[in-house]
Amino acid sequence: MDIQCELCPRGCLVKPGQSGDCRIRVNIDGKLLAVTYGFPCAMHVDPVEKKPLFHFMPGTKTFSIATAGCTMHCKNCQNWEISQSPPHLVDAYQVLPEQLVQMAIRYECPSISYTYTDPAAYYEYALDCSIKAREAGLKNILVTAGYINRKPYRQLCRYTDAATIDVKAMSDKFYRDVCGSTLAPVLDTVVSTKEAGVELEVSNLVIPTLNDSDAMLSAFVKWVKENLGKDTPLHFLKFVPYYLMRNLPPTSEETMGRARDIAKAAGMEYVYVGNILNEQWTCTFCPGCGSELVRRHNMVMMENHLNGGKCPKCGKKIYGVWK
Amino acid sequence: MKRRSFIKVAGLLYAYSLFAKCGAFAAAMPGRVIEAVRGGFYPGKIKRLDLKAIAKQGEWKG
Repeated sequence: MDIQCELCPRGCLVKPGQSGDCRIRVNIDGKLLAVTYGFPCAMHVDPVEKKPLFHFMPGTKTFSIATAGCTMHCKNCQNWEISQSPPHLVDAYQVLPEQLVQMAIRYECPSISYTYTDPAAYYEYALDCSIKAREAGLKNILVTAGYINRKPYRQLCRYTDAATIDVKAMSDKFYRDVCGSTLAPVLDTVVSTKEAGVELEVSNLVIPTLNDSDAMLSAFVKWVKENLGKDTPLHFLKFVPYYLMRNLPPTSEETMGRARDIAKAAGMEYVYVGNILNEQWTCTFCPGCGSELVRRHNMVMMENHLNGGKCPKCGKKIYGVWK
Repeated sequence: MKRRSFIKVAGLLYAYSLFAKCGAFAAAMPGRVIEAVRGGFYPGKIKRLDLKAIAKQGEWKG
């Protein structure tokens, strides 16, 4: 009997013995089973700034995991060896949610990040781990491309404290050509995250010739400002050639600066540039008086001048979770 | 015989041989039968968990 998967907007009709497009859910004897449940293939202790997440518990470590498979198929994926491989080709650890939480505690990580591939793909595992982590007093962080249906995502949001969502471009054609997906569900996920009260940061990978035009960048910034607010932290990330997109050069520093200028000119309060060593582009400045609040260097928090989440000079409340 | 039926019959034989302490017979079973009986259905290879390797921190450590 074929089974319709309702997790992501792709809605795969999975035949017996076969997997959906994510390669994770397999129809076994009429049941749709997530074969990577309890089998993370990547586990690392990362700085929370690496997610990128600059306004959530800065300077802390986060226990980061992923399983094989993904709901999207980006031609520029930097983790393509695990995200675009079927699970039987990826070696994994066997770690149940309870064990994962214990490991995070053992390594003094106050949070667990579901990252590298996409928690939307290993949804069941991410959800159960999030529930166990919440019970143990740990925070949960999602790093996702947001290609997931609203109903399951809202369920996951109940246990999520912070999320970084990567909006690839404000173009459905880009999503279809480069990512093998569509734009509308991603934007819906971003809005759902905000509505659910999760601390949200949005990133955008700037790829030369594909989404680096002024019009594309302006459209992205405008959408974020109108739908999420001007205080939403924005991260422009430098593209580095990987996987099926090695024909393009890395994004230039000039282009990254242009993206930042466009966002600043549009009134966005917290704009950062990632994958580039430029301290000024990774520091947090007060939107009220302009003073430097948090100084970072290569994903390490060096100084934090915030006083109870407020600017010590003008007293303006800064968006985020700072404890 | 269908693949699933083979796994079921062979799985029962495997479980019985373990119960009867016929280790040599059990070890001679195909790998897919042993995997099916032992539970956990991850189709790939399982890595040994090295906690020290996971805790290793990169250049970012301040």
